[in-house]
Amino acid sequence: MIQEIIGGFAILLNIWTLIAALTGLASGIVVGSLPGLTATMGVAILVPFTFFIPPEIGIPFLLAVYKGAIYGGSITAIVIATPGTAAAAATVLDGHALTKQGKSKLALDVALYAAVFGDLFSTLVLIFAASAIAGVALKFSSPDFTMLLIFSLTMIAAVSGDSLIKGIISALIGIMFGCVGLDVISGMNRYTFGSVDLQAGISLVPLLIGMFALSEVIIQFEKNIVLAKSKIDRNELSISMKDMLKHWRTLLRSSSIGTFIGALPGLGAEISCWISYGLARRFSKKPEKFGKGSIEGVAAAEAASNAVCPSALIPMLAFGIPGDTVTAVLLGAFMAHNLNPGPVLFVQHREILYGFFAVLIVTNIMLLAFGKIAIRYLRNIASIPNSILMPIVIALCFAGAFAINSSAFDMMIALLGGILGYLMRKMDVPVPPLVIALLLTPMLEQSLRQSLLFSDGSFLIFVSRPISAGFLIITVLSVVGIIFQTIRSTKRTAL
Amino acid sequence: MNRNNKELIVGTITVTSGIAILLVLPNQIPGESIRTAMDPTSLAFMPVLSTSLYILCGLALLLRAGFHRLSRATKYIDIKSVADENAITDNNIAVNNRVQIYKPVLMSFLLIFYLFLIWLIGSFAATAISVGLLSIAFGCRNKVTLLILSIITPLLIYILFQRLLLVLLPQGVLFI
Repeated sequence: MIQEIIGGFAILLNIWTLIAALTGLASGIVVGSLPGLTATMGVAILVPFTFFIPPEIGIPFLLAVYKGAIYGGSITAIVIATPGTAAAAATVLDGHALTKQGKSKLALDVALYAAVFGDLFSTLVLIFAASAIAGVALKFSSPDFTMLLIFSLTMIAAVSGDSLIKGIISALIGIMFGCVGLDVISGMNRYTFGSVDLQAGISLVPLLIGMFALSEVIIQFEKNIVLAKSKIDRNELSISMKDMLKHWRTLLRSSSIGTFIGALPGLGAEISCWISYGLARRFSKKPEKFGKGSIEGVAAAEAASNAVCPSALIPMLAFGIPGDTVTAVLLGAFMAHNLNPGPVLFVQHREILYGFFAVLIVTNIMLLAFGKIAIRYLRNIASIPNSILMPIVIALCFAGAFAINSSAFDMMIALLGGILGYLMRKMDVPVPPLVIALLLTPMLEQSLRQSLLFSDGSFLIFVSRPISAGFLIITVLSVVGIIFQTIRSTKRTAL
Repeated sequence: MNRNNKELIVGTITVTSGIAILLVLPNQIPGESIRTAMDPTSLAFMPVLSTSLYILCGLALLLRAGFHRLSRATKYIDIKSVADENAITDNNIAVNNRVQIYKPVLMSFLLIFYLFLIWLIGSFAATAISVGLLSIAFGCRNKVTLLILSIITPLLIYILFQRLLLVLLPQGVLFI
C-alpha cells in the first residue's frame, strides 16, 4: 500500500494538478467565508468547469474547493462573528471572544493548525482504513442513529453557560423550531400557519447568520463599540505549531470524532463541531474559559469540522454511497469522469485513486501555507472601524441569507433570528443549545419514529442492538455526570 | 438588570409563550395526531413533549427566582442603607434603560427598513442606501467615506455573488 501511495504522488508531477488544487483551495476559502454560501453550493457551482478537463486535474480541483470551503467558514466566524457555514458556528463562541480580546491572530492560527491537523488525521484514516470504517458506518441503522443523536443532545449541558435551565429552555426552543414544516414520514404540516415558505422548515444557515452575526451587530451598536477588537496590537499574541501540539489530546479526540461522524451517512461537520466542542469542555482542565476565548474550544470545533471532509469520502469511495449532499455532488463529478465509486474503483482505477489521496495530503500543506499568508491580512479586518465594517457585515448577511435558497423569506428568518439572538443574549439565555437542538431535531425525530415503527412501538430495539445500547450507556453516564456537576456547582455558588 | 430579575422575565415569557403554543397546537398539527400525542411515532409527540418541558422549565425558573427573592428578604438587612442604595441604583437603571432600549430598537428598525428596501427596489439599490444609513448610525460623518462605502459595497456583493458565483440576488418588486 505504501508503494501505491508513493506512486499516487506521481499525479502531482503534473503542474496543472497543483495549479487546479491551489485555485480550488482559494475558491473554496472565499465561498466558505461568505455567509450563506456552503461547501455544497461551492462544489455544485464549480462542478461544470471540470467536465472539460481530465479527471486528474478536475477532481483535485473539486476536492480542494470542498476542503477550502469547510475551513473558510472559520475566518469570518472568528473575525466578525459571522459563521460562513453552519460548521463554523461553534468556532464563533471562542474564536470571536479571542478577537474581542485583541487576539484575532491567535484565534486564526489555532483554527488553521487545528483544521490542518483534523484534515490530515482524517485523510490518513481514509487511506489506511477506508473499507473497515465504511463497513462499520453501514451497520448503523435508525436505532443507532437515534441513540447517537440523543447522546449529541447531552452536549447542550456543555454549552449552557452558568444556567442549565436556561440552556434547556434554549434547546427546547430549538426543538420546537425543528418541528416546523412538512413532516417527511406523514407528509403533513406542523406549525406552518398556512405559509408555503414554512413548509420547508426554518432554514438553519439564515437563522445562524441572524443569531450570531446580526445579534452581534445590535450589541455592538448598543454598546457604542467603535472597533470590533478591543485593542489593536501589531505584535499580538500568536501560537507556534509546537505549542499547538501541546493540545494534542483535544486535537486527537476532536479529529477522531470528526472522522467518525463524517463517515456516517447524513451527519456532517455541523454536528461534529458541537459534539467535540462539548466533549473538549467536559475534559478540559479549564472549562470555565470556554465561551470566553478558549484555545481548546477553537481547536476542538475546527479539528472536528475539517476532519469530516476526507472521511465523508469513505462511504462514497468504498461503496458509492454519498453520505451527504457535497459527496453526492462529488459522486456525480466522479461518474461524469467515468470513475464509478465502489469496490471496483479500488481495482480498476487504483493509481488515480491513490493520486487523489496524495492530492488530499498536499492540499493540506497548501492550506497551511495559504492560511498563514491570509491570516496576516485577514486579522486586520477586526481593526476596521465599526462604522465601515458593520454595514458591510449586514449587507453580506442579507445577501448570504438570500443566496441559500434564493428566498426572501430566509432574509426574514435571518432578521428575526438576529432580534431573538439579541434578546436571548441580553437575558443570559445561551444561543448554542438552540442551534444544536434545531440541527438534531429533524434527524432525531425521523430516526426515532422509524425505529419504533420497525419494532412495533417497542423501546427494546434501543437495547437489543450493540451500537445503540453502547450509545445509551454513554448517554446515561453523561446525564449522571451533568447532574453531579450541576449539584456541585450549585453547592459552590451557595457557599 | 440583576440575574434574579432576568430569570423572572425569562420564566414569565417562557410560561406565557409555552401556554400560547399549546393553545395553537391543535390548529397547527393535524387533529388526529393530537389525540395520540403520547405515542412517540405520532406527529404531535415531539411538539407536545417539547412544549410541556418548555413550560415546566419556565416554571422552574420562576420558582427559583421567587425562592431567591424570598430568601433574600428574610435575611437581616440594614433597611435604610439598602433603601438609599436602591434609590441611587434605580435612578441609574432608569437612565441606562432608556439608552439601552432606544439603541437596539433603532438598529432593529434600520434592519427592517433595509429588508423592506430590498423587497421594493432590489438588493443593489437597497444596499447602496442602507449601507450609508447604517454607517451614519454607527457614527461615520465623513461624506467621502459614506459615498465610497455606498458605491463599493453593493458593487462588490453584486460581482461576488451574481457574476462570479452565479447566485441571484433579489431584484425588487418595482423592477420585475
